[in-house]
Amino acid sequence: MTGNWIKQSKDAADQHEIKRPVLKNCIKAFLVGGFICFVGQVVTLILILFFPFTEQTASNPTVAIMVFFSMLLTGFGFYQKLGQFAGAGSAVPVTGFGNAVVSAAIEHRSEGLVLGVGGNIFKLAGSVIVFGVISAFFLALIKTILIQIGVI
Amino acid sequence: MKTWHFPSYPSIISSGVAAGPFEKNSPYASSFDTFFEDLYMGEKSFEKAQRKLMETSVSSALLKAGMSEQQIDCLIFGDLINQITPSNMAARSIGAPYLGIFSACAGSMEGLALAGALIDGGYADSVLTGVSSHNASTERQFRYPTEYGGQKPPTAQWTVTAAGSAIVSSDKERNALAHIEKATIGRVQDIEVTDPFNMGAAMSLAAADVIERHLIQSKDSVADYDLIITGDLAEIGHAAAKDILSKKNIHLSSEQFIDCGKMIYQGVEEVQAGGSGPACSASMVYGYFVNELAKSSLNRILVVATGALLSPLTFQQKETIPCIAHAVSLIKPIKGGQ
Amino acid sequence: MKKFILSFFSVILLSGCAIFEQSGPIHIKIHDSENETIKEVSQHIEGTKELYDSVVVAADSTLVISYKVKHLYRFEMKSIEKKMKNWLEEKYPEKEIVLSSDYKIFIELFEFSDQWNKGNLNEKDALDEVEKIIQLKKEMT
Repeated sequence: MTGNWIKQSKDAADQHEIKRPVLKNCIKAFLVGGFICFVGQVVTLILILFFPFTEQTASNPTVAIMVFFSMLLTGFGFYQKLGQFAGAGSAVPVTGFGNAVVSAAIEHRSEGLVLGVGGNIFKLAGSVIVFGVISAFFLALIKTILIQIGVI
Repeated sequence: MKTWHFPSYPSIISSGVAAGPFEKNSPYASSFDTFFEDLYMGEKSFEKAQRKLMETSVSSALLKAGMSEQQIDCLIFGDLINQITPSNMAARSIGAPYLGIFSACAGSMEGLALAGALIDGGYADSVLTGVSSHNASTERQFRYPTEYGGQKPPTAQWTVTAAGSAIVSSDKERNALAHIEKATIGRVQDIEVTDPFNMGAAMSLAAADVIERHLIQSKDSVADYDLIITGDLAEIGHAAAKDILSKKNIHLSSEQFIDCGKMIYQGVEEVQAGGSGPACSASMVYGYFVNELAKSSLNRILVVATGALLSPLTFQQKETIPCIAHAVSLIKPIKGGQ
Repeated sequence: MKKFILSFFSVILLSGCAIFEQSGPIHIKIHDSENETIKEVSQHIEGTKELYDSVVVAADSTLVISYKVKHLYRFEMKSIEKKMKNWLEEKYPEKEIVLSSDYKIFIELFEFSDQWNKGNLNEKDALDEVEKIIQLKKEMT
């Protein structure tokens, strides 16, 4: 009998569930993500035009500047609202990474600098770094092997 | 367990609600006592802010009752944070005998039911019960850091930043806002929802179950209640609970069956499915409904606070979300009996 | 506020367009003896449909070439560069060839040509300048 009610309740809940508006979210994410990349492109151009950076070398400082921007936006409480609006659009660019780091740092400030901020700053972004390093390692391994064999 | 009947009708003699800045947008904001201008409330951390909320609501309840802390026989507090520390710390500063309770968002009615039982059993003369929740500290504990820009689905609920407390007394001489009539303690129900952003749906069966049991055991019919108020089921859970109840042959109209989570942020953008948190039901019941009872614009209500008993650990370990609901029926003040 | 945003965007958009403007083709030779080389190279670049703008500088033993790739062909930049490089190396095996599609190199070369044409640079300065640009190109990070 209880099992029956569980199933019926689940059906009732599913029936009333509000679905994520996937298409609308995609469009919003596209626009906002595009805008963030556009800002990044402007930063790159400024670096190329006014500083001694080439297209090759400008990418690293651009990333740093974009992370700095997202840091400010996070600190002023704006990024959270942007994130709710844009979803992946604001999470996927490097600014999302900056937001994940900074929000954790702000959050754990109350537990002190070493154990709070230091210990938790990569709480969310840590897995990005871990899996980034792991996948880079394996890709490098595959490439090395292929070169040794002589495929590439 | 059978429904508890309280023949002595313990009285709610005063109540206090303190709320955060966001709750000012609520259509029921005028029934809350104190507001804070920012989420930190002048404290260093959100957890301390939550304690301050609790203390503020307690002191406004005491002030309205004209009582001092020494006159309180027992405190029953609860909240959502690990080891219910905001409640414990608030109790530390009040210094009365203290019972800490946890049943997530159902803590408000668990506290009220226990307060009624303590008084009806003659173990205490005045009991102060209250719950608190804070949006930022709850987000931090259960989800992501406050400033993290993650997207919440439309089923997500907004944790209310507020604290509500009430003083329950056996004193028949005092003017009561309302009386506690009966209470039914709920059973833990799990309908195998794993999404912590869809807690309303998870709690629907628990709510429906306790309502059904309350009605059967107290031999009341639906018509005996002006309102049946659920705690924080929000859009999805409330609609689902209504469906489940009608399958159980309990038919409620949408005017009679209402939800605090849906009401508290009615017409507020940013909030997805509705409010949640123990303070959601507490602030609405202790702030609004109790005063409606005192004005006799309501005769009898059944408050069903619902709670999702999850922890960040359990849902990461892919456990389903067990849920609880407690029902307390309140009646308007008995005039002339004083 | 609205006006500000609007003007901000239009400035950015307009300045963005400036990048894709054609400013060449420009040919610089530091010695007259290189006339022939420059002619051949620029003819080849003009004959390549993927490219649209170029600066060719011939100095002593080095040949510095910068070009812009049409936007549609930017995905094939690597293969275009390879093709160019092969062609140049085959044709001028005795020369050191510096080939770049980098915008920064392009504007640096453009600036250099400007200075050179105005006669602000003597031969030694010019060679130093070219060397600097080559260093910039070789910089990786």
